[in-house]
Amino acid sequence: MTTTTADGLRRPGGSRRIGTRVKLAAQRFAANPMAVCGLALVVFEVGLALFAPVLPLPSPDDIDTLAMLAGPGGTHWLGTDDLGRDTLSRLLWGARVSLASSTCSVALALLVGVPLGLLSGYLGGMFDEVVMRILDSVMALPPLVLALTIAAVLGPGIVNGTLAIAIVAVPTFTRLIRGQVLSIKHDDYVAAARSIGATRRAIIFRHVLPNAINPVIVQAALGVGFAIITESSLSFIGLGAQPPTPSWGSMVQVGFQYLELAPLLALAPAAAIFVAVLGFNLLGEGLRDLLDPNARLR
Amino acid sequence: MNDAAPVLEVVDLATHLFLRGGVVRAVDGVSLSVASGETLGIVGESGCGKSMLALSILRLVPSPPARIVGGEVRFGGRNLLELSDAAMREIRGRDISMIFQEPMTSLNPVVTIGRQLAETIELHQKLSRRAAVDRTVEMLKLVRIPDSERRIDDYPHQMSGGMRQRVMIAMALSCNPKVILADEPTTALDVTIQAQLLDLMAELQAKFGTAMLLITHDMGLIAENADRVMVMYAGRKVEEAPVAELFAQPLHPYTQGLLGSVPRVDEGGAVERRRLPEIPGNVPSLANLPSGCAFAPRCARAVAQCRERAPPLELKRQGHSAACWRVESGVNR
Amino acid sequence: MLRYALARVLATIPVVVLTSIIVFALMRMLPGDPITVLIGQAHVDVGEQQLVQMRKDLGLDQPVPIQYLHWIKRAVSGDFGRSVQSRQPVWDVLRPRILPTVQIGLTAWLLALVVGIPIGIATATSQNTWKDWAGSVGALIGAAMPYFLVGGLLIYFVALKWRLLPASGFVSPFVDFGASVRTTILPALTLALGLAAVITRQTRASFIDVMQRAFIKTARAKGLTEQRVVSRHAFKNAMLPVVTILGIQLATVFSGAVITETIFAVPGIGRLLVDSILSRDYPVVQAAVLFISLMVVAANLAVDILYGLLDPRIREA
Repeated sequence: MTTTTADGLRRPGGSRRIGTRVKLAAQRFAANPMAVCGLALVVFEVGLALFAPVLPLPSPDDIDTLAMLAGPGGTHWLGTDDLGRDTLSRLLWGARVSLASSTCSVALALLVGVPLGLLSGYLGGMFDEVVMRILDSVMALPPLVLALTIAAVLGPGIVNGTLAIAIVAVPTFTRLIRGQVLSIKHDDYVAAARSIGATRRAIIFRHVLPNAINPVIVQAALGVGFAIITESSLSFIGLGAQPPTPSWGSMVQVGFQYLELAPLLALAPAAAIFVAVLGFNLLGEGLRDLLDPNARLR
Repeated sequence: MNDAAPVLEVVDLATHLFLRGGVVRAVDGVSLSVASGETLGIVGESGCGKSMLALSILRLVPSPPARIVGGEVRFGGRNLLELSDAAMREIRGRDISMIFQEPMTSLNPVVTIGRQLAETIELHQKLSRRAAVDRTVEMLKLVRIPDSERRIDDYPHQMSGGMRQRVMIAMALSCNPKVILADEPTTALDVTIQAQLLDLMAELQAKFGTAMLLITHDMGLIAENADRVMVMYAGRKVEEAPVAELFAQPLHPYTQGLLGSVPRVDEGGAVERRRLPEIPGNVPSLANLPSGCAFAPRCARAVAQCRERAPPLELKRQGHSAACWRVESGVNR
Repeated sequence: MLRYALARVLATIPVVVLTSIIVFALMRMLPGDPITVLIGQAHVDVGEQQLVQMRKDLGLDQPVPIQYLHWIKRAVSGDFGRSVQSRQPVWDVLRPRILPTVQIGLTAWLLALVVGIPIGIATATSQNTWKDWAGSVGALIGAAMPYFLVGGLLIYFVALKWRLLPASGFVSPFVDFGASVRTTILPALTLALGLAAVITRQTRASFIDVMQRAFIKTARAKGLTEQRVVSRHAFKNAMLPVVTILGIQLATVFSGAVITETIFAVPGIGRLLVDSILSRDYPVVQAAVLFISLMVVAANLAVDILYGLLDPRIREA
């Protein structure tokens, strides 16, 4: 059984009990301002999104024809949209959609990309060649363009949008873990495991994966940020979440039509996207400092 | 022993590292002098401060954590520690040069070696491009790199480690410096290459009268190439003597330990089969030096006085000094 | 060097081929009968016989790989079929859109370089001072800002409130140079912010890394001024990782173009892609996606060659 110690070194054998290791990791995490800020932002957003239904806000679907495009004030802290619906409320409900969609995209991409990368890196040979060539070509398309096209193929709707983003995200995770596997598979403990007759499956999952996983965790956090931006871009264009589902992207799109009259309508969801992405980026960068001491990007 | 006036004299140099955990006294009041054409060996374990000493002489210590806090470096009638940055830069590379340990990484990988060599020449000697190129070729011939006219367009990765170090030597000598600081110049290289390079350096030294500070942890190298030797421990000098004298009669217990742990081939050519003696214990943390003699915790001959006060460096024999309470002048107890 | 450049060009060929296959495959997966896809809803009332005939004419009765080869053959000679919307040849629809996208994209990219690299160097050389902190925080924020926010703020304040620059549209430089510049600035700035943030962070990291290396000590020991050490020795080495990400940056520019062109109503390829997807004008979609990917591949090739120019070690391998 291999473990990764708190300072990122790879060692065979579990060196300390799980409890103390987690405590150490938590201490290091707390000492890193970026990670803490990121986590705080993420918890804040997720909390707001989760509790949106129970907060004392008007329903996001309530049309109030008497208060269209109102500015902030009174019951509408951030004003209303072109149908008189409360912006703040739609913002929070839209958060549910965006966050759920993004985390699902990343989860799906991990589910497909990690095993693919593990196998490709470990088995090598023809399989690896073919996979890499295909990934190279998929990556030749800029991410949003690819997501758009896939969403067009699949059809509009939030589920299809989530799927499209997941497909776009798979190559990044695959390449990342494949790179890790390539450098790990020559380590001595892998050779030792092989020499005692461990099955390939055991080696891959018990020795290689735990040591390769760190940069993937970092990338997963950053990937959620990417998914949020891409999802809102899809909704902005009209694919992705469809009305009446509130979504940040479609709110922005409507907002831009009334930018001069009611700037908050476009800027509030845009700012929400910003804060969400910032939170996950900070978290990802903070995790990177913690888990991947070789990557010096600070 | 050379009675000529020293070309470089260091008096009580102190360089400290200011770290979060405390202050590390990397160089703790070290003095030395070296005369023209002479080679002074500086020997000691990793972490004893010998590299810091060399960097301090050229004022190249990495300045956020480290700082030169005291002493004088007398060269050419001036104290180098008081010079302006511009004046110091003139001295670097022209009057005092340095050769570093890692030939694999000490040269810029994306610039040809010819340009890197010519850069020093152009900077200090104000020659035209053409003249600098000619001198570069000349220097490469001097360090015996074959085919030098073509080699000047090579990149470092196209040369072996030994050749790269020759280029470093050429760079160091290109402006005819009075002193060369050689910091473990051959540690990263094969033993056979080591010998070649040191012979080359000795030859060039003799030719140009350059003084050399040869820093190493390898006693064998010292024996072959130094005129005088100083031994450093925990940032201080603990012994100094002409090389033959040091090997014949080491006075300081640390030096004795170092020499004792060199594997020997005795008269018959057979290798001794006994276990190599080692100096017990570890080098003390330089942030947490014990009061008294820094070596006392590991010394078999330490007494109470050793742990109370640090012994001063005193002349114990002619030309031979040591910092130890247990060594009396003239007689070794 | 030439050999290396040639090798790189040859290496892109399989990538181009695979990309075209992927684009083609994606198009074939679009919902609906390809014939309606290609001809459009307007002809839904065409008779069965005529449909069969059209199918033959368009080669849709051939096996898919053959269709692909036909498509490639026609594409190479510039024939991408006809737009369903406008009945014009697709190439005629595509061509005038290239200039705005390229102009804004290149401007954004250059802006990002010109701003990002000096800031990156400045923060790297003054580590742990307020300058460093400000630069790093700025970069983190800039990287997280979506185009909607930057574009929205710029349009609201610069265009609508202060009326300094137009909020939308694009004018060709051949028609009116001044107006062209004015319509390019805001979209280019919007794109450039995110790019500059990434470039700043990478430059900073790269510089800090290079300044620790042994050959920097050697350069200082030779008596060079700190400025020369940075510009002659550190710079080239530090730029290597930055050049690597420039290729990715160019792909990002095209992604971003989709959004910025929509926000600023610029008639470029990005907006063409969006419009044609929404109006199901699939021949145009196919051509636009192919064109964009070819531009990305070409940009990456240029970056690879630039890297070879900078790093002699790559040329050997």
